[in-house]
Amino acid sequence: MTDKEYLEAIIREQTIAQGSEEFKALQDQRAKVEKILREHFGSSPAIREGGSKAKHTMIRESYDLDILCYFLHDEENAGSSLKEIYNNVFSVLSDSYIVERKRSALRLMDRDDHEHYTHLDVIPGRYADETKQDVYLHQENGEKERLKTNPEIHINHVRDSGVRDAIKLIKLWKVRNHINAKTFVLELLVIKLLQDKREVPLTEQLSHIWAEFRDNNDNLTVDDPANPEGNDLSELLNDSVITRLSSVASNTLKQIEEFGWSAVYGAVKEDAESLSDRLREVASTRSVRPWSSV
Amino acid sequence: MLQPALSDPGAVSKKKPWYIENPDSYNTLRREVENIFPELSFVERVGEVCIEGDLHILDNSGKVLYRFSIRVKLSEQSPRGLPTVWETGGRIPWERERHMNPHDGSACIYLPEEFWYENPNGISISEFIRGPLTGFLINQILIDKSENHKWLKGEWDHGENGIIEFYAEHLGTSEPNNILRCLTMLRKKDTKEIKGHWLCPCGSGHKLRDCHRLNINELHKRIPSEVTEASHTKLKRAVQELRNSH
Repeated sequence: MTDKEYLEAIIREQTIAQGSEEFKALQDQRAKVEKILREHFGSSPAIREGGSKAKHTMIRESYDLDILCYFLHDEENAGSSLKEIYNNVFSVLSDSYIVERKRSALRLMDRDDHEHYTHLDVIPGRYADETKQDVYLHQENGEKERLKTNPEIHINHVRDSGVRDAIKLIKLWKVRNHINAKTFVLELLVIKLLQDKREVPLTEQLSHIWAEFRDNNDNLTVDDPANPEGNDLSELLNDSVITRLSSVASNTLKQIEEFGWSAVYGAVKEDAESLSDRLREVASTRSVRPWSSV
Repeated sequence: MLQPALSDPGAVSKKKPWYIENPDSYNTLRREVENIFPELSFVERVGEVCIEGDLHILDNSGKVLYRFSIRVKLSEQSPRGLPTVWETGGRIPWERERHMNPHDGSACIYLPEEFWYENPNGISISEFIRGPLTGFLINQILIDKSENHKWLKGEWDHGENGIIEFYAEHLGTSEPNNILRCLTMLRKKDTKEIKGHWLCPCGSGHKLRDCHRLNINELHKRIPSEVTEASHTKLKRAVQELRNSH
């Protein structure tokens, strides 16, 4: 197995497949939350998926489904202030879940099993105007009480970055090395560091990112693509985060040099022959005769 | 060479695309696809709607075996029509031997005639992705893994030869002029316009009613006239080029 094939196999193992039990459970949970919100707030809030699912960067080892619940800019059904909206959505969800208050999100836990995290975060907010582009979110803590953002820009920035595989593997690396950095910031860093390296092999992309973390950590900065002037992300990329990124990256590069890529992500169990057999089995009922128009 | 009839028939129609005419139907379809395929998203551009992202190839237990980056352009004519597909991850070379159009990289998954013959009411986009598209992509992986791999259901010859092969299976003749006569009949809008006393296009010399009438009627019923029209034009041009070269 080449390094490229190895990394592709790791990504496959981390993919939550369509039709899998995990995927169905997530869809069911999402439908349940939407039903609860609709019952209380009617049809007016825009409810949609955000986060890694919408960005297509979800990994099995650590995933959340963000449910965005945005109210119209001139509607006061759920509250007249952002804080009231946040609290009212909290209150409605608390009838069915244990709800944990995060900075702008509400994290849902199963009522019958407090340890059981549902993988769902609900993010209440209000559109800034009738164009339904920018959104204001309440902030429980932090310098400002409200945050202006644009989920569409965030999603498109990552989803259309052309480096989603590198993002998935860096996320996995972060989880396995217990790096306490915001995923959103890491995504922005990966996109920025690979802006001239979209076409190079994945192994080279990852090595470049880690080399930058190790050697160029004084210059690691990111801007919020939805609000570059207004949202200062430096707090999320502070010295302790950078130090940790740098030291783990340095160690990772040494591991690769000494032991190869499997030292970073562990072994994969696939073997090529059984893969071909399984592919043939799937294709046997789905193949058609291809043509060529020219 | 004519441009391929890759999408479903009626490409010359001036009618507004169905996804503009019928937004409810479009939104239902969008929700369905995005629910089934977690890493595919609808992207609306001027004049077209595409589904883009990663398609997971799963084994029968739901485990991911492979992933392909794809772009699927929806048919303008109907939600159940034949879409156009591109593999955007650069895994499949743009070669006709791989059934990829060398001019624009689109995939030649189906001979349009066969698509409509097998699916006279069309198929939904999810069925298309899960079925023929997945089958096509798996065969491409198997070709990469083994030079000796044969397409599991066989493959049509290129260009007009593939069209001849298709009609030959229904008429028992591969003589291009006979196939042209068959296509001339099939271009008629109404089956009633095809008369039983006409000579059968198979070349037997028998009247149609005593020969391949049932097959002709079946082809006529299933394949839209726009498809047979496009094939007729393509084949006629090829026959003329052959005559001129002699």
